[in-house]
Amino acid sequence: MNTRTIIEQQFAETLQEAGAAVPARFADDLVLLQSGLDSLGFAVLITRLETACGYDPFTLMTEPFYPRTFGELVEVYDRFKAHAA
Amino acid sequence: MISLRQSLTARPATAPLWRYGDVWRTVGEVLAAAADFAGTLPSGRIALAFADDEALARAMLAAEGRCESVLLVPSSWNQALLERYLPIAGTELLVTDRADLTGPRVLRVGIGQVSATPAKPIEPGETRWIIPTSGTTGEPKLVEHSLATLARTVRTDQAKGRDLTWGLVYELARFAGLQVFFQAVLGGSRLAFVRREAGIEALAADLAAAGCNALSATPTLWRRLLMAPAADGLPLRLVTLGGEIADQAILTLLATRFPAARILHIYASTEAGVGFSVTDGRAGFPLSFLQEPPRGIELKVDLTGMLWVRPALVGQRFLGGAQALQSLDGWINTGDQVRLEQDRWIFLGRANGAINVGGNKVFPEEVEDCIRSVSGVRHVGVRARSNPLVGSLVEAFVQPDPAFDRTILKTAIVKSCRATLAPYKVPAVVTWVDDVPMNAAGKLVRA
Repeated sequence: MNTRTIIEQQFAETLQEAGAAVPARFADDLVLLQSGLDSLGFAVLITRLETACGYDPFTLMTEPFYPRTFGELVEVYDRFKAHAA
Repeated sequence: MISLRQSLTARPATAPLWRYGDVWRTVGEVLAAAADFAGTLPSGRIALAFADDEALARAMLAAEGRCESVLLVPSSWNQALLERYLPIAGTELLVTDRADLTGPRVLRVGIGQVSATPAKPIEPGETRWIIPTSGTTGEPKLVEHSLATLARTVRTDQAKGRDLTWGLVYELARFAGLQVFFQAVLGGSRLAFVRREAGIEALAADLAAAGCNALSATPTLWRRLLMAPAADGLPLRLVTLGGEIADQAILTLLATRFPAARILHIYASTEAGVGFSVTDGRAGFPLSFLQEPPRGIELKVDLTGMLWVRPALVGQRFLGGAQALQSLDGWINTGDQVRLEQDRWIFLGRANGAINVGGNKVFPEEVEDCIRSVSGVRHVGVRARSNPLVGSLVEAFVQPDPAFDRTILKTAIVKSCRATLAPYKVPAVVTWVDDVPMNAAGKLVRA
């Protein structure tokens, strides 16, 4: 499964649990903080992605970077894909 | 206070005292073995490190009144821990049945030795008992007690105790195990040593075989016992819970399963000696305890919700550390957080066991109680999972009932948590496990 699919699945599940609407498709320009997830929800998503992907880019990165859009989020995970367990 | 041996001497020598393996040993046999063993002990400071609880029980009876102090070494201690703590306790002789331990001076004893040698008289004196704290939330500390402080809440009415058989499901060398041991010995009751390491079925079978009708266990252990068929027929008259927070669900369940039993939960800490017990079947303790404290103790709650206790009888102290056990006015900080709900103080958890989710405090116990109430959950533990954005998140590890579909169960867990808990307390991750671990003290392991 590619990174984008994993992220879409986990994102949708986390949104559902939070009682938020799941978009018909996750566009690259979807603004994360307008997606229905608050900062806590986003933290939860990151933890779930660590389990699903086997790595956590936010712990691995030396320069802190906080993605603002869905496309940037996928890019961050793709960039650290070499660390997948 | 009457000594352990004096108390036993007052009983008929032919009366059964304790059950070990499949055999009941009489008061006379145990006293003779203890007297015989006492002859090999020096009068100074010793340490007892035993894998076998019954051998330890005999060694304790032998050492009492003969040795100046006795360090009780938990079975989980290895050589390195032993070497660190023996000098602090000032130990001159290590008495052990464990082949893996050595010391400057060692007396090795075999397992199961019972001597028929007639008892030599031993003059009772004041032996100091040195008990390590469990160290679940830090380095173990050595606390020195007298029998009087250790056995403060023991009921010594032998007429009432005569009909009771206590089961020892705790390790004897630990504080909780000692409470049961002292209650049985000083209270005129019998004691059942059980196979603690052979699984819950074996443990329950041993309790049933001994006719155990009085049992003290942690809520974690009670939950497991209630799932063991052999525990069904236990003729329990006295049920006590301690070591962890007793929530309303387990108190109610025990009352339903053992309608003839008196049920009480005990609040205690090794540091303070025994605290107090609550007998009304409700979780927490009454507001009135602050004004009208239980016997031998005073209670207060500070502005941060921390529970403090002041024992009337101060006979214990920390060994070897700079840390003061009590503030100058005698109060001991228990490290436990409480919250007032109407007329009741409810225990929240250990202050240093709370999970910090982005600055919000989460007590694992509250989340565990919520998840445990979901049908299909056998056992549950909650711990912190580190997170780069908020520091920590809540992770639940759940042992499911295999008959339940995991996807549906997970949805039910999350739904139940969302309905009753603040969003930051809802587990971010639910991990399935085959077994939720329990330590030698019968407490849930959250690490």
